[in-house]
Order: sequence, then C-alpha cells, then structure tokens
Amino acid sequence: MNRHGTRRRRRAQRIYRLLVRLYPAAHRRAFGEEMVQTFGDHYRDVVQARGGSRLRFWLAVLADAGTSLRTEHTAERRARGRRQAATPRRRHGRPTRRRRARQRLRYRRRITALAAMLVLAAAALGTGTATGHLGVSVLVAGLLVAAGLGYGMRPTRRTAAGPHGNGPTPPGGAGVREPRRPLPISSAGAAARPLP
Amino acid sequence: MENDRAPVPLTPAVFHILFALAGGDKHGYEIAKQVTEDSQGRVRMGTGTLYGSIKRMLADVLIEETEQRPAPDLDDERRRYYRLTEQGRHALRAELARYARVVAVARDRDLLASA
Repeated sequence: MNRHGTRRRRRAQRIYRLLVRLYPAAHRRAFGEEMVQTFGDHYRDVVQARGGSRLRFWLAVLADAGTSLRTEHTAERRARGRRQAATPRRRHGRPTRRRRARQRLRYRRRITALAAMLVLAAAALGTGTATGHLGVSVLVAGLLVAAGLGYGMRPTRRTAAGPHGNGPTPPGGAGVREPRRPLPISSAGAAARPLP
Repeated sequence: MENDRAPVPLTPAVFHILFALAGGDKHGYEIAKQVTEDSQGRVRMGTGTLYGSIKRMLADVLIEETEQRPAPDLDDERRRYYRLTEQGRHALRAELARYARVVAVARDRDLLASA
C-alpha cells in the first residue's frame, strides 16, 4: 500500500478513536485498542483494497456506533443501578460521599451526552471534508445536533401560581399569577401589617 | 433433555459469532469477515456490535480468549483470539436444532415449496 493510503487509514483510525472514547470506560479499557485495530483492517479491506465508497463506509460506521453506544451505555447504567441497589443507603444526616459522587456523575452524564453529540457531529463533518461530500456531512451533522438537543430537552412540571410559586391558584385561571400589589403605607411611613 | 437447558433462542449477532467460531479460533476481524461470508453478504457486523457481543459472550462463558496464536510472522501481538467454550458449542447446537425443527415444520406445511 502506498504512503498516501497508509496516511489516510491512520487518519480514519484517529477519527474512530474519538468515537471509541464515547463508550463506557470499562468497555473502552477492555476492547478499545482492539476495536481501533479491527476498524483499521476493515477500512483497508473495504475502502482501499476494494475501492468502496468512503462515505458509505463512514455512514455504516456511524450507524453501528450509534446503536452500540446506546446498548453499551444502557447496559452500564443497569449494572450501576444493580450495584447501587446492592449497597445499603444512609437515609439521614449529611449526604454521604457516595451520594455526592452520584450527583457529580449525574452532572457528568449530561456533559457526556453533549460531548458525544459534538464528537459525532465533528466526525461527520471531518468525514465529509475528507471524502469531498461536505453537503451530506453538514446535513448529517445538523441531524445529529438536532437529535442531541432534542435528547437534552426534558419536560418540567408546571409551577402552580401563588405568592411563592407554590401556593393555591388565584382567581383568574390556573397558571395566571396575581400581580403583586404594594403594601398600604401608614401615615407614619411604616408598612401597615396585620397584627399577629 | 439436553436442549431444554440451553440458553436459546440466541440473538442473531451471538448466533453468527458462535457459528463463525465453530470453524476454529479467530480474532475479531476474522470473525466479522466469517460472518459476512457465512451469511453470503447479508449480515455485516460493525465493530461496535461485534465487540459488544463478544463482551457479553465472554461474561456468559459462551466463548473464551485463547492463548494459542498463529506463527509469529502471521501474528500481531495486539490481537486477541477467541474460541468456543463447551457451553458455547452446546448453545450453538441447541440453536441449530431449534432452527431444524422450525424448518421441518415449515416443510410439513409446504411453506418452503416455492422458496
């Protein structure tokens, strides 16, 4: 294989390595390097030896990565849930270190989802640039970003109207907040408040 | 009965990997190529799906990593080779027997005549 082909394969492997980083850490540690190597072999056979379409190859890789990422993260979440269910929880007092860690993990998961979306979009754009199909790759990247944003949206509970946002519904309809009225001012200049 | 205890039905990916490994020990990419060949190009297993299935099959002891490697000039030491365990072989046989029963019933009902 010529030097140009080898360079292209290495570049493809670098892009795939970014995708591999999105897998759960345990999976990545166990199979990450092997996955990159297998990907390189596959790229060499399909694109370089048989002259297959690079765009089609990358679309198949992205589709497979999307499916398997979801499967692996779901399996990881279930395994973590089982581990947490097996450990006794402290109900009172200050939050334990474990609970604080869980809160941080929750936060990190949102960052991971955002990072996954950005890396997939960047991979799509990079592939499009490399293969000369920029238009298609922009469309794919746009779809990925839209899917990512949609995934991040969560329904929130409606807050009942009231003086503090949790009181009874005022007259005028549900969800309509009564405007705040200024307190009556006494002649002495102090706010007149009802006696306790 | 032996077949009743087997973990069947298997998922298509697991079945194809077991079927590919029935011919001998293989590394990841060889398994993927064998799956494509066995299915006459109808099944193309992506890298993510392949290693996800391998992970679960290792956990279920259907396959295991083997220390036996090809000759050094044909080998890449970064590769890992897999082989069927006795349990994996048993699961594959049970799944094939299940397919055979389905085919026999289909033949009895004349469902395969026009195929």
